[in-house]
Amino acid sequence: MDDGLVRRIADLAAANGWIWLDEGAEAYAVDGVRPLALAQPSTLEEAARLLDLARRERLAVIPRGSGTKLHLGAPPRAAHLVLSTEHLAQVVEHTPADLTVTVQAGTRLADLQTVLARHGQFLPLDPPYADRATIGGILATNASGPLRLRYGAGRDLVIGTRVANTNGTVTRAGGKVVKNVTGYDLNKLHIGALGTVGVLGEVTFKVVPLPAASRTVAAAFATPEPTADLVRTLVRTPAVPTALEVLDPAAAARCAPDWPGGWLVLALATGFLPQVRRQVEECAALARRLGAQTVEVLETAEPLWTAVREFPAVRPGEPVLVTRISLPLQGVLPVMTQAIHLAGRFGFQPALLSHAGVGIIWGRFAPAEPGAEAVGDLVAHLRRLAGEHGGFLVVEACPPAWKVGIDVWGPIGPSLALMRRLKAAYDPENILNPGRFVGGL
Amino acid sequence: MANRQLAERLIAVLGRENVLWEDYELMVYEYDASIDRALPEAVVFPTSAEQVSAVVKICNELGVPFTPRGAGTGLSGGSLPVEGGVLIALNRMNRILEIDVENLRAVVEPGVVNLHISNAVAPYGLYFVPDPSSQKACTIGGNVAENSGGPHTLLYGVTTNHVLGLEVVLPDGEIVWVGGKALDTPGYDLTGLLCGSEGTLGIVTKVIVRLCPLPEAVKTLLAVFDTVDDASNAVSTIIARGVVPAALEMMDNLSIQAVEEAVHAGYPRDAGAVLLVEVEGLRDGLDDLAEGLAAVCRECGAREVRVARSARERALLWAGRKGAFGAMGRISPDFYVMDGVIPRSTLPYVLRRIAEIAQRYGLRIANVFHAGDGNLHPLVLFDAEVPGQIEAVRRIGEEILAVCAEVGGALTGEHGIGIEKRDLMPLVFSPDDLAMMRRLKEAFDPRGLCNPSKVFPTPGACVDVERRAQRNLVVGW
Repeated sequence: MDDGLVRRIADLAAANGWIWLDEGAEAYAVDGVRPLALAQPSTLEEAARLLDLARRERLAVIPRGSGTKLHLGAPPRAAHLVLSTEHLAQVVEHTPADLTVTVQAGTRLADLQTVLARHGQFLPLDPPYADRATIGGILATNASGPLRLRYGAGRDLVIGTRVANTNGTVTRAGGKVVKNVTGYDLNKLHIGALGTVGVLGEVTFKVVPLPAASRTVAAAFATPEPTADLVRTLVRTPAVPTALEVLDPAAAARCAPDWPGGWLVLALATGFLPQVRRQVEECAALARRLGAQTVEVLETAEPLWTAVREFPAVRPGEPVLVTRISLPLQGVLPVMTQAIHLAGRFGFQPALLSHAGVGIIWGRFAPAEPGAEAVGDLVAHLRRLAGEHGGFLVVEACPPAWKVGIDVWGPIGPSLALMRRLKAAYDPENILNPGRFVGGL
Repeated sequence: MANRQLAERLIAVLGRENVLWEDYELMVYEYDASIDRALPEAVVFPTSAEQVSAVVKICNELGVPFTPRGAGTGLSGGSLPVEGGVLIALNRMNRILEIDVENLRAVVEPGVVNLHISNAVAPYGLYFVPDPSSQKACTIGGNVAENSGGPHTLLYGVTTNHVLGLEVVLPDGEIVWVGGKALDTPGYDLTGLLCGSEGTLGIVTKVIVRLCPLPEAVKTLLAVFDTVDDASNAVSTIIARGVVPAALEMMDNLSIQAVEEAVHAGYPRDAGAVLLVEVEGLRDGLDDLAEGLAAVCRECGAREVRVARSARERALLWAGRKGAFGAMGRISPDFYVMDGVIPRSTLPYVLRRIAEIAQRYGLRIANVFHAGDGNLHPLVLFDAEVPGQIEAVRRIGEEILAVCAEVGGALTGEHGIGIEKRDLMPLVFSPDDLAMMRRLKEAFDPRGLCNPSKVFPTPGACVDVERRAQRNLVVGW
């Protein structure tokens, strides 16, 4: 970075009360790119003024919640200023009778759940890093978990947003009512956009009552094929579970070390007890008919579900490639089994866990020996495999050094031109997370 | 004449049988189900995305606006060509292209009627969830444009939650796919932005929808209350007990009287409100759940609760609700349907304010309410023959929506802004908010030819639109 720019940013930091990151910059680095300063606005208006200033000064801004998913995306072209939402962490309004809650983006999901639980409600989002992840970060990265089968993801639960824009304004979309077609649904613009078109400051969700009862069916199989039959049947019955997971033997060993091994299917049933019992009976009976070696019905399985939810999570610097493959449901099992072979071919130890009811496969690939020269080849082959089954692959996390030569998002196709126009419309000077999003946006 | 030149160009692409341009033909297409009308310069009936693209490219070349149209059941003027130009009628693109049972998806053309999707997949035990009341006529393309709802939105969401991918002809004529059968396509959620954009960002030519398993059983009960406040309290108590019903519908006294006049549903004429509650899912425990809800209603002062014990009884309980709009014709020559949304908990307050407004203008207002999701449908009763009443109705509409905005609600839950409510947008959105929405429009449609003059307020509007009264129209939920 040229010295003139560093001095200019230092001056701005002094004038605006930003924290200079000399020592602590590593903790805020994005794929090895170290930012210079940290701003912690305590109002959304302040955040917007900061973006306006950054736009005029052409500073690259990294929006940040609790920093659990800074490994997502391509390495940024530049990172000057971190805009942290950690001082925007209030639950603004919870109206239990309306089943809605408004919360600032820096609020941790876990803290929000505590507030909601006092009134017997919860936000049915269960992404990885659930103890630390913030609402803003979860939505910007479109993170979801096993509950998606029943409740959908962020895009299905958000009913309103307030956003700090690069032109210095704070604007609203949607509202506080669960059904609303007043104006464009700009909420959708920001969900999954990795903070590249504005900074989410406040979000209104619809929430749901905590289920009265829940049970987990765990069924182990010696071979993968019956797991696909089980999933295919269950998702088409009225007894479709709340969550439905298929774990390969390595993922099963990781999440459920006490189990005998093999392919593991986990089905979560929630609701009123009679309905839960029926769901459990149907699922267990079907698993037995399909030749399961072991079928257990668990009354409480919280540690198991925590392990499943946290399966994609990585420690900082952990030498592992984490991929997310989205597919039409039918592709899940063939892609899981072939991915295992591909991993072996390129010298990686795989573990694969799928939210099989919604068609998402998480893969963890650790190099069998130090060094991961073949990571680019592995990603390319996995991506081709996903494509052959009508899906696509995103690299969710890997050490920065591995990202050289990898397209973490994959090809976007003809709609990329339109995405470029959206980016240009909302961030004309390209200050927000420059280069981290699809197509170099 | 200019129309003639435009028509010749369109005919060259689509053939003479797929283009209308004579005035007497065009007049059939100057209406939708809203209270406005506007005459197109030509109507075309393309049968493929390529033809839609060709039409759009001709419009771009000639600088002529274009507007997509499905079944014309829209209630806010979304499909009216208010600046003239070409009306692109998608009714002939009405094929169900693929039913992908294994992946729980269907791929359909925009002109497919909503209900036809569910009918086509019913043999597999599946259905397409969003069910606007016009579902026997309205098309999926229009549903996507308006992000349509229906009575089951509280539990299952609206159109945007059930649409996963779109083939779109962009306003410059380019054909692109957004989203797909798999979830979370990398990049911006263009599918989500297009849903509910009222046909102003492009023309949808294929839709990938999610299919869901049909519920196994359904239980319906009707509770009769002396006052709206008691019924509202029952709604809150049901929610507080941790139950989210599949449908939760309320009608006030004037609606009840109209319904009894028309369909004899057996509602007590002196009741302050009736509440219709429906729960569905697995049959196990559903009877107990329904009984529990009946008990809640009694605790909250219901003077009578009826639980349907058969499909016939269920149909009877619904008859009054489903016939409510049509029944208004029995007690009034004309009526105007509104679509405000309010936080459920503010219902008693909002209804009192609506009653005050009605009294001040000397007109009656019946209220039909999706109590579950806060979507209020006030029906303003009037007589278009009486001078000044149409104007009074417009002012009443504005005042009611101002009340909805005041309590933190929205101008429309499922009918759209269109031209009907565009000038009321400042009630809920600041100029800055609207500027951000305009950026979206300009990114998709820099020339402003795609369904212009919708959604955004147009101060000093110079649009040539004639207003007409709405005669005994049966529309909306």
